[in-house]
Amino acid sequence: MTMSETMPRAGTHEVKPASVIRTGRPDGCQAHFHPERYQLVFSREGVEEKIDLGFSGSRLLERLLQVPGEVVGRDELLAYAWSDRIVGQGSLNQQIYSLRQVLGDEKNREIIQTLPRRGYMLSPKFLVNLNDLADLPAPGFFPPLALPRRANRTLNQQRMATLMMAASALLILSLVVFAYIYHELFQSQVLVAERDIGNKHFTYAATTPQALEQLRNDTGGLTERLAALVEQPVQFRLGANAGFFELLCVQRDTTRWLMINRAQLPKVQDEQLRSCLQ
Amino acid sequence: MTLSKNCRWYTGGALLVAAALGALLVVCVNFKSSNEFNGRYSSSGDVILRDGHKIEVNHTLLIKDGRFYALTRQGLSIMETSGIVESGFLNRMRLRVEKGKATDLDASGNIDNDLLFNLMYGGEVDSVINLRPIGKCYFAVETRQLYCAD
Repeated sequence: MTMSETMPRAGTHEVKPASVIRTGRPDGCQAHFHPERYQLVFSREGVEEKIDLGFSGSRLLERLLQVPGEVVGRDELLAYAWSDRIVGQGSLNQQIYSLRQVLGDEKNREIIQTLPRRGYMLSPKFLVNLNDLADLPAPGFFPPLALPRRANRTLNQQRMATLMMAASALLILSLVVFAYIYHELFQSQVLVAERDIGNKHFTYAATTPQALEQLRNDTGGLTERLAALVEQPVQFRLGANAGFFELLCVQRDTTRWLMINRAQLPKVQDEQLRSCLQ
Repeated sequence: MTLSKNCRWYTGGALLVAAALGALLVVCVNFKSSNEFNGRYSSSGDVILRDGHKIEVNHTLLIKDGRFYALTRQGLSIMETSGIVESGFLNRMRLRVEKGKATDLDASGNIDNDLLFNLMYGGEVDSVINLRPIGKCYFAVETRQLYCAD
């Protein structure tokens, strides 16, 4: 907070002070608060002394003046006075101390009172009765400055928002990891096609649509032969890898398999196929 | 702060927590520790080689407390491997080979290259084998081996 130039009060055309506070200074002067200029103006014998409160100090006083006689929580004051950033409790303490100094209240602490573990309160008895000052707006005192909505958030809300963002990030990260494990680690892409012939069920498995189509074409004859080979229900699963066709024969109690070299597919005998159905 | 604003915050928070818990539940339900795969698995089958010969192949796998021990008998050749179960998720397993030993590999001199490659891959240290469920069995994607619970 800085003191600006001293000038005669008479003859000036200024914005009306938003509120008037009786200070604790020895000369008992009154302080006129100008929130739009972040200033306190002390009137003494026709001379004005302007004290710049700075944005945070002005906002702090403004909030306390909005509800004189009521306790304003520390978190709320922090959010109101430092709406664009998060600061520690020390900043609030420092600003309150500075305000008290300016108002001559640093020793008595009667104008801005500390309510331990609750917050601060501006004592209404130090406010000048505005009915006596026809020029001044009625206590209430002034409409709050138009602020971005974010400024009205309490610190708790900001913390909650941060927490929710962190939880969201964690959730998204979990899903990404899950997807990575599922798709990459376990190489899960397997395309299947199915076909039923009587009580035989055939499943064709491949990794690409082209390979699946090729498999179905290559094993068409084998499929017909297998279907005619036994009477009991069997589930067959066919695949191809490198130089082999793979045949899995699943019956109620047994599961066997047969690998056939591609070159041997046209020559494979029924007896060899039956070995898969033992 | 108005009541409706409060409600929005609490509703949003509750939805987010519910979503996180839901995701956690999905993971928990699908997660299997390697111990849950404990047991003995095996399968038997035949391979018809390029030259028309048929050889019998047997696969046996034992999973115990996060480790696996496997044996493949392919004709006269035997491949023994062991290692760790790296992870189990969504009923799938991933094995990492730590030790492999082939016996009488000379007897497999006439088998097809692809078959030999699968056999050797499964015995190579640090090779990874992904097991994918097929019905009640597991299929080793890299080595083309089938393991069914005994």
